[in-house]
Amino acid sequence: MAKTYDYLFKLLLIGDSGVGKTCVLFRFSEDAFNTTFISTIGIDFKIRTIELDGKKIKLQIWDTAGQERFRTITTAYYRGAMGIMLVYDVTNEKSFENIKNWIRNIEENASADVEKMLLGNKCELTNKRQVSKERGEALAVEYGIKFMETSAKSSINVEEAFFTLARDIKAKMEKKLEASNPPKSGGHQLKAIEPQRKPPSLFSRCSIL
Amino acid sequence: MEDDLPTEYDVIVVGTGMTESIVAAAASRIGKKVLHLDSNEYYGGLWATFNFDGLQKWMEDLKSAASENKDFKPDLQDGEQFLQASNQYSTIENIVEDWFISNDEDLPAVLAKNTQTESSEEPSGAEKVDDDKSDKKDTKHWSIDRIKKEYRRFNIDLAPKLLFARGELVELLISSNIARYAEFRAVSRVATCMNGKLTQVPCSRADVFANKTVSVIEKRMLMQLLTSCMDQGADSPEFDGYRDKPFVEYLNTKKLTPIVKHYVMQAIAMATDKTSCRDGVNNTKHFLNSLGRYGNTPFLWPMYGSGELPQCFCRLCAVFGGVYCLKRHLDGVVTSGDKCKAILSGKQRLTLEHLVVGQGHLPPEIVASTGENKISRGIFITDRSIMKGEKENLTLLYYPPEEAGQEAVTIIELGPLTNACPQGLFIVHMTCKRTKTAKEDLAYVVKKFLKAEKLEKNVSRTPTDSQTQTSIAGGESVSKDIESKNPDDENSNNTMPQVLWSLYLNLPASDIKLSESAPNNIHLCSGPDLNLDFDFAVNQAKEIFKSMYPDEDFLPRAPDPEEIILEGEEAPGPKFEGDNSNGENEKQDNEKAEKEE
Repeated sequence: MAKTYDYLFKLLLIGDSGVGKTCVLFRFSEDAFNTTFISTIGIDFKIRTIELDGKKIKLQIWDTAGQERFRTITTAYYRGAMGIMLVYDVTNEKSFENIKNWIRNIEENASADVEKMLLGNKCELTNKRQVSKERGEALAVEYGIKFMETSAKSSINVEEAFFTLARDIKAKMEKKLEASNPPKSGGHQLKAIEPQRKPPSLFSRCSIL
Repeated sequence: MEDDLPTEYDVIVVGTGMTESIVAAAASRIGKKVLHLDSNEYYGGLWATFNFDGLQKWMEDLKSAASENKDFKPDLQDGEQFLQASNQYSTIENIVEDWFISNDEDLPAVLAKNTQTESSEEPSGAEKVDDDKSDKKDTKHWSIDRIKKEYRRFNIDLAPKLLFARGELVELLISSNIARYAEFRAVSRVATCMNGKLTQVPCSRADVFANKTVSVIEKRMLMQLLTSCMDQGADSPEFDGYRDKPFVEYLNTKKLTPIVKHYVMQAIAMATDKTSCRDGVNNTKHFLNSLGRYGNTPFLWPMYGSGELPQCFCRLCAVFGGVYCLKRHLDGVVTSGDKCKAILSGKQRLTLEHLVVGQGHLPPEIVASTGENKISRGIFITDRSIMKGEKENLTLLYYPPEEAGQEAVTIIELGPLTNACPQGLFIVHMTCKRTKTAKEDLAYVVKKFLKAEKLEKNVSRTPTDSQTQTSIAGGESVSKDIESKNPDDENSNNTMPQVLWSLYLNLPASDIKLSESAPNNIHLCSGPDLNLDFDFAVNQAKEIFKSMYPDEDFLPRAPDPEEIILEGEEAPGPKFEGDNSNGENEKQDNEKAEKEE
């Protein structure tokens, strides 16, 4: 079957419980907002295909499945991720302080060259704000990553954030391709549909002998 | 985070080993409220995979493992009994760790060049400090410091296991849609040691054609035998009168040539002289049945190590609402009559309908037998493959005992493509049934295939790039098969993989049993077993699930994200729709998800 995209990027959402990761994901993938996800249930990942410079890019965006709650994200979650959105809640100081722990977690488990971006979510809640935009910017500078304040609820910057991250990954990837140094092939996923079941190869010999 | 956990569950699972994780996923999948705990800060228990640093930390923690004799005085209601959890059934024994290379400061500067070495002959000794420091080390040269520095690029398994391409686990991963969380590589060759030489067992048609050691007549002989194993398995009348006799006795009646007999016994059936005909035939059938599905051999290896697989099931459990908490100790269980009512953990009383518990957390009062099949493990970082190849290989080698008192050893060799180790290195895993200590049990095989002596620091080894194990200083070609030479021969010794680091350890027995009087809603999950694959754990998980929920489906296919359709604002959460009809053009994924048949 023909591929309907040029690139597939695996992206992750990371951050404390309740910062709005799932809402950010739904705003981007469905352009919907739903406050009833108390924690992340049944959401594995969402897909949206975007177009950048004439290239179709399929973004596969994974949610934490609530495993961030007690800091029990599996190492398997980080495998193969090309971009990570670090999300905190501008009305929750603690979630901002924890970003550095999440970065440590990423450094320990994700690929060394993963693109990261910092998002301060819920920026529409101006009268509850605990973390200023300047502090967010300063933290992002400290880690050398990009930063945006977003609102999944009011649909502010969510689109822009994912496009920015995707653009950075694409640039990095094309640079690698140009250097004729394509990323080494990884493993393979098991497909339910396999080539028509052939008799085991040893037996194919039977007909020849 | 200090959040208290919710206190009522349908199923509490303690331990994140393979069986525990599968049961957790299966229960969560059918809507049961699941809590999954582990006292460790990592997933997998004895099934875990660590990076180099994590492995060191794991060993440190074993040394300082706190004794659990704090007298626990829980508040109990009438008729309740408290049984304290114990870690005595997950004890690791006989850990021996050795380095065969030096620290950076002990290396002579001349190694900065990739040439033959200086003349002085200093004995290697870690305590001896060389003044001749140099920052410009040969990029190909491995020191202790460098391995420690690149710790993240290692994925080292406590219990490495393969998957048969048509084994229980592959089928389960596909049917449950959990396969999307993992990646695999096919084992690229099955090797066998014949007349002291390592050779590749022909598994694919191309291999058979290319194989010159087997004549056409022998090939025909082999086919006839394999066909009878394949068609009806051990029930075939062909095996009447032999089923409970050794497989080798049956083979002897077939007048096979030594080579054919060797392939069947040692590579396909992985049998010893004691293996029964029934087991031999079934093993053969299993092997053949899995051929031709993925890659060149019947086996798959999980990328990043076996320890990824329990995590995949945990992820599914979490996606369906399972609550996860690591670093959370099980203090003990509260029983009343023949039921387990609750567990105590971190000052909380958590109630349950079913307790699924790994063997590392069982109260001794409910254990009947501590099991016999303990495991000896050896893990080696080496500088080249045990068997030269044109490309990087993932190799399985079954090595039967040479003499009485030895056990058959399974060897899995992993290269950088599996993410087991950095470029230029290999990881060799050896596993056998324990009789003495791991080091003693494996010694005869280590001697056979590896050079486990301190590497003299003034000796430069052949470049160790995985694919180019050919050139060696002095222009002399020693790239011929190592097998073609006497193992004591100096040249051959030079092409044997040099061990840079080794670790021996004994894992506990996996066949412990609960006593008859144990509460019937406590379900025991075994640790890693001796088998090559995961089938034991999968089948155990199925049995446990069936005893808990006899009328429910075991891990039905999880929907793909495209199939999850959100209802209106008042909807409590996402709903699933069986069919993907929203016209997305993401056919690539649908294709993957569609069921077989």
